[in-house]
Amino acid sequence: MVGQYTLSPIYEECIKPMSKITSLPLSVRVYPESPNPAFEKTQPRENRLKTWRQPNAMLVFDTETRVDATQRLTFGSYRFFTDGVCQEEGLFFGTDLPDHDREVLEFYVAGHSAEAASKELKLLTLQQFLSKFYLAVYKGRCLLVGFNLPFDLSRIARNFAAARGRFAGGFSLGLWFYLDESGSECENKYRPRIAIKHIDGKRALKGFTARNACDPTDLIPDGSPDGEPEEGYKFRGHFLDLRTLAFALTDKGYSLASACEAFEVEHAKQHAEHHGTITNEYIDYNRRDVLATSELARKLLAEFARHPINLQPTKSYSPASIGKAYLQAMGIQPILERQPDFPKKYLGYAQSAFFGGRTSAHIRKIPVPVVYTDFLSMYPTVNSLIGLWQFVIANEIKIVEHCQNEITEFLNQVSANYLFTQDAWKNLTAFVQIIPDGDILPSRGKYSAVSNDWQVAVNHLYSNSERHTALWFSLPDIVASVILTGRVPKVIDAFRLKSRGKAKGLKPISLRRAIEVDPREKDFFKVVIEERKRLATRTDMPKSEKNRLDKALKVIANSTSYGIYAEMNRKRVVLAVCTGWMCSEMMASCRKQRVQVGYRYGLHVGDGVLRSGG
Amino acid sequence: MKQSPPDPIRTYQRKAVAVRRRSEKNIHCACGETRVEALVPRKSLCAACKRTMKKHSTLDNHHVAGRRNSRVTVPIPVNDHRAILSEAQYDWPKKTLDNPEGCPLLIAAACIRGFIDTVVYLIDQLLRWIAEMLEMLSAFLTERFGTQWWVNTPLAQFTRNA
Repeated sequence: MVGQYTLSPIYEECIKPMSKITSLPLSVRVYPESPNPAFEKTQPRENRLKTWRQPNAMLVFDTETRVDATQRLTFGSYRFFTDGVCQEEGLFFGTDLPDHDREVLEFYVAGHSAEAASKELKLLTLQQFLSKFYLAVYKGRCLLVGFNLPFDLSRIARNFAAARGRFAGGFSLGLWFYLDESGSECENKYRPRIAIKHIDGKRALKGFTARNACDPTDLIPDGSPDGEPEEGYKFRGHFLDLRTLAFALTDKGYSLASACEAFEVEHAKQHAEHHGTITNEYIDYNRRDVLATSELARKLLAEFARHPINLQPTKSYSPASIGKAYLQAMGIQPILERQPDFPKKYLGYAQSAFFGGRTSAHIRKIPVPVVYTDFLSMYPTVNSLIGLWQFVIANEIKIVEHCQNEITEFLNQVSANYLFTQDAWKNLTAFVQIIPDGDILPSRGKYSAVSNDWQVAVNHLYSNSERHTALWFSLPDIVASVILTGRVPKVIDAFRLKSRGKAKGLKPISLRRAIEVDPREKDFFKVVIEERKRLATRTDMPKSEKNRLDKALKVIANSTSYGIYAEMNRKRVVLAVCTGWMCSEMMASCRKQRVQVGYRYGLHVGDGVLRSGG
Repeated sequence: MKQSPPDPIRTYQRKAVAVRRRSEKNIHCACGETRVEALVPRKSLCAACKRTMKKHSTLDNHHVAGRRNSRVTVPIPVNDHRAILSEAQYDWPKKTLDNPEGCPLLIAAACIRGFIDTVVYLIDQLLRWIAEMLEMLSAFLTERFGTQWWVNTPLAQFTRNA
């Protein structure tokens, strides 16, 4: 049951609690375990990543489209680089481009030369371009570079379908077709399709699908030590979306223009007066976009290379990817790999106490007075105060069970002032089961009938019957409630976390090859905060370099502080395979699948504490 | 006349595939051969050394105009055949090399291309090193005997006429 607040009226800054108590179904997170032990043992094949080397070639392309709703391809341009030198440049055009537009392109290439080793500016049909694309990107395995690649890839595709398997929920694009004897267009099954699944506005999973009759050389895994083909291997491609990489490196969304500015690209993006109509200026604009994209790619790859981590830039989807790679580089293994017998029951309790941070604006387009509040490096600061680093590097995490008396005693002495002593924070690594009785606590419910969405809110929480509605919370959430309500809730159970020893294999690392950190000796979170602060006074590097290092430290600090310890990995298990009998055409896939969830780091115990501590 | 350059994407693709087939640990043969096209896939061995071990000839019969266009062959060391002449043929227009219909004009084109490739190869192998050796010898004599070292020697007759 939740005591709701109402705003009456909002512009009077008056928030009055309603006396009415409303019953709402609440939901909590769970820690699922698979009934199939073999499924739990499935490990990602990471050994291939160890020897991945960045290809020395890249194909950069960009497309222009009609300005109507279809957004069909009009033309595009590409550059092919090996070892940083542009070898070939060309234009290509859509199959249904009107003759007069094609003439503009033909006239243009006749009067312009390529900015490449080969001075001939090529003009290709889409099919010719796709042949080159196939040779370079699939057979030669070069980097495919673009800014917002999914859009450009969809423009050069001939058809689409619902994707399956790891890309289920996304699209599968068909690029390669041929004309059969009757002259009708057929998909070339001997070439792969490209599957795309959006994660959010900045990120998408992209990859080649399987194809029929692969050449043996296509079955050789990347970085294979012996060059032997491997049965069943699928080359997924090296798709480098610069929008995603720029976001991963800076935790900021960019357009091509703003990214060029932020990374000081020499030939930045230009602006076109008109879109849609093919003119010489518009072709210049498109070629300039490809040039800017290629220069931005070099800058971003150089920035990425400064991080001493074993991560493919093409698989760097967010700052969290970089954070995880840093933990890996420091020799920090996920807790459940170090300590597979960690009692799962407590993971479940901790998981039910985990309420991920979320920001939503409930008052929009109405001017209200605000106080701008900024907290420098909040997550790592809280991490450091609570002393969570010791759990990250621990050889073992122990559970101190049924310590409710000790916790109640601690809660009795809690006050806002008491929390200004650093030692108080060290006591917060515990979870508490309480029967809520008007305590102010986070809860997940459908608070809005309009959105019908599960949302986290902090409300007065009541229980109507004992035991059945006893809930687990992290101790910092309970402490916050004690400070807000002035009373200690009824604690019925509690457990505390203790770290024991230091994991083997920990090694020092250099953050962005500039700041040395030894995870065995120092609190990583503290080092990052202090170095960020110290950066402002450093005079041994230019300002631009200081800005980059500051951004990198911010990304590393935030990404290693929060979220990644509760990584959720979805795995699909095939329950039944359709035989074709009674198969509905509406089915996206003939395979009945069930999503199973596994937690890799299993450290969401710490994340739960951290979230509420922050 | 405009000379069409080789397709850089095709060249890259062939090279990338050859590198992928090569064993990661063994990037050259014990004889010093490093050209990836001449190395035997998944072995630290070049084609010539492999043939030597098997006591086979280290010469290949190179089809000068391509197998589909002419039966004329010339013996070429197997490593050079793989790394230079076959590679050069892959840069020809695909229709000329494959010539599926046996077009006589394409046969003629292939003969010309093959002859050029082979002559360029022979020039590289038989003449270029002599030019390089003469340049080195000139540098050596200049260092030893001064910039006019040929004065009062029989070689003076070959000097540039004023």
